Amino acid sequence: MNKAYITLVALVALVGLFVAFKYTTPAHSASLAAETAPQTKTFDLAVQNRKLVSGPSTLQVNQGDNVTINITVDEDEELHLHGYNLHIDLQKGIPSSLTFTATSSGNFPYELEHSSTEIGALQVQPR
Amino acid sequence: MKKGIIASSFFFAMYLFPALVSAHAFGQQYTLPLPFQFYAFGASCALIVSFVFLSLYSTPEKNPGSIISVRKTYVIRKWNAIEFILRTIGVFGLIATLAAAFVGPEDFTLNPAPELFWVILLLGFTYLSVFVDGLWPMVSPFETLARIFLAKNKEPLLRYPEWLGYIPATGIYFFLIWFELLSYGAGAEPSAVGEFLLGYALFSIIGAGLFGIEEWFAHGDFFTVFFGLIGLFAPVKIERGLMHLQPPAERLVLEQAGRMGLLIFVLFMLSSTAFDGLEETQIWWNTLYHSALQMQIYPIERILILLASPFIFFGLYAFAIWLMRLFTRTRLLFTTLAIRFAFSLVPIAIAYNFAHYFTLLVTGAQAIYQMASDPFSKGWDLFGTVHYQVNALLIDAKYVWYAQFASILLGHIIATYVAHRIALKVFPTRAQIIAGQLPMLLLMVFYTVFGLWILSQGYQTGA
Repeated sequence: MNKAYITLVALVALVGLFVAFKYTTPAHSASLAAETAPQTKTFDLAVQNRKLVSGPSTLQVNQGDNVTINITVDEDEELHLHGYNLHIDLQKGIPSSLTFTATSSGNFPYELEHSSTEIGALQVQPR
Repeated sequence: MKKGIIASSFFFAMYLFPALVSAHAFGQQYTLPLPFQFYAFGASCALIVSFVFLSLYSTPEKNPGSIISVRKTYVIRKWNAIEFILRTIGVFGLIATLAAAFVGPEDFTLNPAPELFWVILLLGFTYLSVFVDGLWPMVSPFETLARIFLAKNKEPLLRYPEWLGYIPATGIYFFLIWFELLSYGAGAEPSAVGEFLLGYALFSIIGAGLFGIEEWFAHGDFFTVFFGLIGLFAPVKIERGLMHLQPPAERLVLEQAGRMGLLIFVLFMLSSTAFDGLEETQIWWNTLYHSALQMQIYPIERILILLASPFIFFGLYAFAIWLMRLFTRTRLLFTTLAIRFAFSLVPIAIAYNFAHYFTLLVTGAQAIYQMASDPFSKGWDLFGTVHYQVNALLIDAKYVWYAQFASILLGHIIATYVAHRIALKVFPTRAQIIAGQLPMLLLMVFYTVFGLWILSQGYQTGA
């Protein structure tokens, strides 16, 4: 086989694969926020004994979404969302909420600051 | 409270178990798992590119040159002054880091010592070595101090024993990875970093005093071996006042590992990064941290897995080399071939490192910019940067994906190229080159796909 032929076949295969993965992979819609308009997403979390007992530990949102985290804890604490560096005080038994716009994409753990307990992560998918 | 570095933090952590300390306060990364389509596309690219290499460039050449064949040497003027400046920078850097570590606050968000060591030295110098080789022996404060303290020792006390090989450097490498990942946060403690640096300086001076400066640093010193391996890729090499230019990756083809110990070291570069990535994944936790018994044995288990990791990678590599011998029917020994192809893995090691850690350099450099103004928490503002806010969100997750994907794939392509060039030198016939390259290429496709697979795994959240 001649070299130009092999190179051509390889190039066609690469471009074909690229197109195939870009437009047909079902994961595409799940992992890239694509063209969807910003939404409002609310998560209700409950923590007991420094463990998440209700609500998802991974909060999935798309870049640009308005996010509200409602959280109830069983001891006085402080919630810290890394990366965004947002803090709110949490009082025992009283629901607190944190609202913000997910402007930056990435994986951002949140923790109970005083006891340094990581309870979950916010995942913001890029557009 | 100042904690001791090695023994005490280890037993302290064991005692506290299973209350695992909240993961990753220091070196926190905000990257998202690589989407499936990147992983799938990258895997297919790796396969196709490998086979193109195999089918296109398999003719043995009498004197095979590289794709770009530039080889030039320049004399650096006023080299003695430049060397003096480089050595001063190194020693000053060590003193400044030690001062911050011991005088500054015991908090890595205020004290620049941990970032200076882990990010600026270990990551920054690694990425610098990708482009320029040969600076470390000058910048190394350990070597400079050894030269100052041992100026009067003309003869080393002992000959560097053959069997010792790269054991000291590899041992320190294990220790550093343990210190970084498995010491329950000791690696983020400024005083522990200071103690390590001080201890390491002493260790280096003793080693150099016993075995001679040149011998010790060439084999015994982790930093020299590590940066030296990365530097084999570099297009620029500085040596004794001369600057050599050559095509990138050329010395990975021309130079040889010399012994198995260096192969294990290279494999640990791959496996320790893979370990770090894997340990954060959901699948890892589901497999190894599920039952009460598993939680009990996990602290020991992870150390054993880390220790075993280069040998697991070696098993795969050895299998590929064994197949290579089988297919080519060569008379070359297994060890000869294993050592000869060792450096072809270095580009993959660089790619793994970059894909996993480059975002740390972005945040770390910002953190140092801010902390440098008040390293001892005395209310100073030396450079007017004390109010700078570290922007951890500087790079969009999408661009992080592109960079990770590109580096892993590029690492694979360069490694394939290097392995191929080595094969041209080792095997005399076209049939042997093709037969011998096949297992090697499949191994590299595996490492590449594995690297992408780790990056695509969901993280374990909420320990």
